[in-house]
Amino acid sequence: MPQRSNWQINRPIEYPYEAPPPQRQVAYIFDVNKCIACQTCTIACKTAWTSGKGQETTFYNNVESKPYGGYPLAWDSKLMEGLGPARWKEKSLVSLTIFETDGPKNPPHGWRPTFEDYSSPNLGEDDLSGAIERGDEIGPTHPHWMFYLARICNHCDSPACVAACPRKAVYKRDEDGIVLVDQERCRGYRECVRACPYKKVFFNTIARASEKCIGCFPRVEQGEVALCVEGCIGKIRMHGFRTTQGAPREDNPLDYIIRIRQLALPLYPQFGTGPNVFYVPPVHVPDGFLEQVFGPGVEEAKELYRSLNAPENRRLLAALLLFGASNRIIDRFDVEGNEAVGWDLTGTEVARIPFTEHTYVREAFEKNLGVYRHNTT
Amino acid sequence: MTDQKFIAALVAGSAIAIGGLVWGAFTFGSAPRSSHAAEAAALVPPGQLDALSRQIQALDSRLATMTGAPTAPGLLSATHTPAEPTEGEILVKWVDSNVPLDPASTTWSMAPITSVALQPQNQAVPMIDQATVTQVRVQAITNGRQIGWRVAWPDPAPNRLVDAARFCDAVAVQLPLKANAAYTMGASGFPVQILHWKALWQQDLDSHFQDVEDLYPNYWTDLYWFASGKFPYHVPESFVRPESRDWFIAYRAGNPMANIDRVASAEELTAEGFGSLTHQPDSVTVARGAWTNGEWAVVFVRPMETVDPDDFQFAPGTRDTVAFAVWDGAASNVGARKQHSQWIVFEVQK
Repeated sequence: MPQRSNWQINRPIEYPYEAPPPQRQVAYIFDVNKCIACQTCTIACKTAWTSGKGQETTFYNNVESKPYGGYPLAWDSKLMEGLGPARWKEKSLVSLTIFETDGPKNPPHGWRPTFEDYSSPNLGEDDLSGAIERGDEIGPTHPHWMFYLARICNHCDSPACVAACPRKAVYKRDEDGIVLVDQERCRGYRECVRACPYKKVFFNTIARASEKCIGCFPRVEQGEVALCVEGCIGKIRMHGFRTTQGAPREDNPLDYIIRIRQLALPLYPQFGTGPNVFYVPPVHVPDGFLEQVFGPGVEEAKELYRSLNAPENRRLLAALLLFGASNRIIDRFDVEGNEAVGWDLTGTEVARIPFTEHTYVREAFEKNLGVYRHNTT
Repeated sequence: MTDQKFIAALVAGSAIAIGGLVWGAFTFGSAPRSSHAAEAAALVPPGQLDALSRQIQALDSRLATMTGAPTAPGLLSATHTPAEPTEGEILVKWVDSNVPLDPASTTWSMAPITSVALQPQNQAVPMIDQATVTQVRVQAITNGRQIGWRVAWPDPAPNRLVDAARFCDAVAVQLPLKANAAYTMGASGFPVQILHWKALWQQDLDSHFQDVEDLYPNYWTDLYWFASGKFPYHVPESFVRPESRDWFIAYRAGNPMANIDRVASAEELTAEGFGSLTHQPDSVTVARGAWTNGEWAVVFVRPMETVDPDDFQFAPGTRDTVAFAVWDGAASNVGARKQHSQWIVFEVQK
């Protein structure tokens, strides 16, 4: 079986196909610290792409609460039960990925969700890591935590769905790395549903074919961000392209945040697929849990996030300010004075965000009208 | 008449019409296509003494193989009750009647039963470790114009519904389109033809298209864009407006799996090796399967000869090979996860 490099786990993996990386790779950064689980992203996606009959349980985008939530139910812990705990030596993965666990005569290690697994999308929502004891509410913080994890297809570097399909009906596009199920060719074997570690391929019971997050490819082809990104009211998301041919670019916001500053980390890199949604880890959550979910580098990322106001991190802060700043994909960014500026793929300026927003102080007494202002109505 | 009922009636009408077309096509396909074929049919009229005597000899030799004792030819008379299943070659038995599509038809008792061993598919990924169906009982008959294959296997309970984790029972008959094609779905340059039946498709025809409410009776949804009528918006009746079908992406892409106006329980396919299965849009094969008393019996009927170069061509006296595959829905069989036979020799009685 050919070997493919995987920079996230710092070692090659066994993969059924040999293929060069795409020309550029669609990628996303989600700042977990800013997500409030309003599910606007979920609805934006669902309304646009999966509101048909047979797609009732299909959520290309979902937001779940960690540690207890997950859609489909316990999608990650069920897989990890079979894989065993991830073992890292520094930033290199020692344990086996999903491609290696079951040997070359088997498809990637996976599991098959039943309809019960799709029946409780809100189970575990807002649940804390532990019960609040009497007295915990007194004091600045209590020891328990939870956070919201927004999830879409990871358009992986080495997709398990592509590896698992016995008739090559799933493919990764060379122009942007988006992974798609060929809707003409799919015969509904559901091998991709079984193999995808992130469970972002779904079986359509009416169309009798498997369907997955399409990365909003009709929009990406026009240089526009995905609907889940545009719809995000908290501006927690950035969507663009990672450099795959050559060194990461200082002026590309995704390259800069992911590869150069390593503020955003992949989701379960130990699975080995090379996922392309990167998360700024939540700073209030203990390292142990975060390392299981985001791999090594959590502590450094949290520390970096806490020191974004330091002068040496001004460029990083600029990149973060451009989250949700435009419906256009930002390919290049820079700092100009007190502003972060973003340009789209055509070189057109599409965002200019001040580091410090203008503020206006109104006097309590309005001289023109001779009245005092009140903030009550 | 309410809108919904009216639409339902309209759609039911069109389904019958489509069904009629298919049957019409089948009947047309079964007629001799050329004067040469007509001559051939005239030369070998059914019911000749010759044929009868060959059939008795075949039965005798089969019985001899089974018991191990030599039997004088002609001692056993032809009977309408088939012998116990034998292993070895399949005799495509000549009958004077129509080739019945109904697996329960008594005509089938005229054809000898051949027991064909199945093995787990363990050559291509994904595999199965163990076969849950270890043999099929195969019968075949012809009347010179049509040929029918009846494949039966034990199954304690039928599996018809399909969702993310539910799989249906299915069976396939494979025929080589070129000499020396591999029994493992052929190979590049050595194509095979496959006739494929699924319990899901049979249920679509016998009852109604498998719908979401069949899978999840207590589910609810507020609306489906542009659907007509009321919840639960049956497929296909409530999806008459073209725009209402735009969310059935595979259907819109022309994927034969997603045909919500299904009129056949079987499809014809060709393959040139693992992963190359290709649907044939022009199908002359009809099939019917029924589950009774712990057994599936599925009949495939098609014309002996067709004009399609991707069809296996049968003629009286044809001696070639055939293979079978069974998917056990209860064991989550689907796609490559199946049990299959090797090539089995068959001979079409003259």
